[in-house]
Amino acid sequence: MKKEDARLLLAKASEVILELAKRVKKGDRIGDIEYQRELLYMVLLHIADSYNGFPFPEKSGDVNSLFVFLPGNVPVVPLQVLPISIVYNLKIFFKLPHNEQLFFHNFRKLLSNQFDFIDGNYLSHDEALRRAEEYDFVFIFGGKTAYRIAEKLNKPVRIFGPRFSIGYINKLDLTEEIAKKIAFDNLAFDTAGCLSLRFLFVQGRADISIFREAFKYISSRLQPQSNFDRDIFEYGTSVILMDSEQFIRGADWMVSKVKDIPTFWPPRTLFVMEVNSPEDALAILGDLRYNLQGAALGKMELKKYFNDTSVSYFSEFGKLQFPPSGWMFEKGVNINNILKGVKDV
Amino acid sequence: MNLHREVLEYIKDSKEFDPALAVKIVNYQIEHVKHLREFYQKFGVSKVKNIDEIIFIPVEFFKKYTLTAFEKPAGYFVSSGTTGERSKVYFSDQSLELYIASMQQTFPFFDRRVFSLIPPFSHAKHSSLAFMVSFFVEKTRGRHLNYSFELDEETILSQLDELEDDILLFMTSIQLLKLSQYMEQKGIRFYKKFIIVETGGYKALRKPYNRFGLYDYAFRFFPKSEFYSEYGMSELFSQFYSTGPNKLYVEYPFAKVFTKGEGLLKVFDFANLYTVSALYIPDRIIKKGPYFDVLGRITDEERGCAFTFG
Repeated sequence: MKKEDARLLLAKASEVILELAKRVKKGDRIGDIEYQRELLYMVLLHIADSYNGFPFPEKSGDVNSLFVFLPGNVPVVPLQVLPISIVYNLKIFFKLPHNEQLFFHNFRKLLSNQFDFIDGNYLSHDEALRRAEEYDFVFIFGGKTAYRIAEKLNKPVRIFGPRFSIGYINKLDLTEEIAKKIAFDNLAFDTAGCLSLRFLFVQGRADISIFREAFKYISSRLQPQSNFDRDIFEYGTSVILMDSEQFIRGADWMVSKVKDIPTFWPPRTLFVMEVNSPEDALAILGDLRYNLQGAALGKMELKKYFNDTSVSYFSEFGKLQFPPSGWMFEKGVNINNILKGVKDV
Repeated sequence: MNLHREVLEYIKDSKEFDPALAVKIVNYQIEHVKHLREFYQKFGVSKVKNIDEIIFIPVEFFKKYTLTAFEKPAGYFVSSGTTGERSKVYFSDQSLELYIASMQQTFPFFDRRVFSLIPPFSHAKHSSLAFMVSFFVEKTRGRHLNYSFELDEETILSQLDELEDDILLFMTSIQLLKLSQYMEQKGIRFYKKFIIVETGGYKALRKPYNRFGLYDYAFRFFPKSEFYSEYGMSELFSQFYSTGPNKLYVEYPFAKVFTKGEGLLKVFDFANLYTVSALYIPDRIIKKGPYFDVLGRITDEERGCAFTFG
């Protein structure tokens, strides 16, 4: 496909995403899961906009089709993967999760015949494995299950996840306004997305009471999704109470000040840790530094301290859900890496 | 009357849940179990006044903290977890007295001779399950047919062949499954009438546990036997048995389930006087009246890009 034609298709897909955004704003339920409406609207607008600036690195290998196992917790992943298919003219199939099929189908219905290279559906486990073998390359989003699927495939595979995000801030910069942005980053997608902020490292003494009003306010805007598991929240927050040096808890959120990485990571829960430096934060994270996806920073010059991590996206607070155009989920993953992967196999 | 005696008599002869005694127990535990006291202090509570103020403590705490009212416990049980840290549950003669009182109240078929594929307590020194089964084997003059959690199917079957009808037979769910698979493979059917109690442990196979599926499967090879399940864990000194309608588990006044409808198991176990009585357990259950079914343990398996549990 010519570059101009691809640009045209990206623009058309972008319009469709804007249409979805309008429906969300109007109050239509567009997925099986009831998402945080305000967040979904903002994310859709952002993705639609990002399509227009999608980069076009040279394609240097022979991949013509892509099979994608989607995660069940973040609906917009197919929209983030789609430009790769458009730009490189790849036939693509999205294997939908059992708990969310409507979102993709609603999106697909709005696409014209020009997009006949895009398909997706829910498939049984065995059928999905069989179908995936018909494609040149496989993406798998997910946790432990992803690795079990990959073992069974005789194809080049890229696994995305499990990942999470962190924040780092000097205590002097932790204002009430920033606290609200941190709450937004944490409560987005009920903390289930890889770009949801789970751990906040505060350089200096941290009084978490600054988060009380912020979480009260943001949790009323970003209410729990319909698939929020209250049992896991209740149980998980009970478990971490003993490890909390200080905590504040609402009906469906919690902020807990801890010294180490807790065993349980309940949804809608922010862990705050005091550190003296970014090196301290990395020491606490240990090998988990290679499970990071995003990092929200109080000052962008702190980026240099996170080179030896898997962080693929640095942002200001409040912006973690809005990665730039062409962001490919994980550090260094772009179409050419995929092609190289195929070549090496 | 001292609290121990009061609880012992209550376990032996209670008709309904006694909230005042429950409050008394929790206050005793707050006073004597250090980490429980610290937990309540996080909520600014030094003493509870009524049942609504009781906090159900996650069972995970047994893995991390020593939860005992004894300064010098006589021994401890260890949970049978398949991965990671295991719980230690300390006991003394006093707590074992409550344990024994409770276990004798919870299953209506302990008037029969008890046989077991679960190893004796002398071979599994930190297993509360082995302790319980050994107690009944001795009391009813039954016999241990096996001395480890593994299984030599052929030897077991030849021993079962010598047993009379109407005995009570304990085994883990994995043992029942493996025995049934062996019998299927060899084309064996067993026509004696046993009461077979499986005690769980299926999660070691890392497959979803469907006890009704297991009963149906095993019934093909033990067509005259009755099947029941026991739900228990080291952290609970009282067990639940599936003796309710449709083989649902039954609660007792001294082991009261507080979960309403569907949710995670919250239980108040009077026999846990010397540890923690109000426990929060990550097994999802569905409760109706005094009966409940266990739907499974909460898991992070399908949480996609996110960790739920570390």
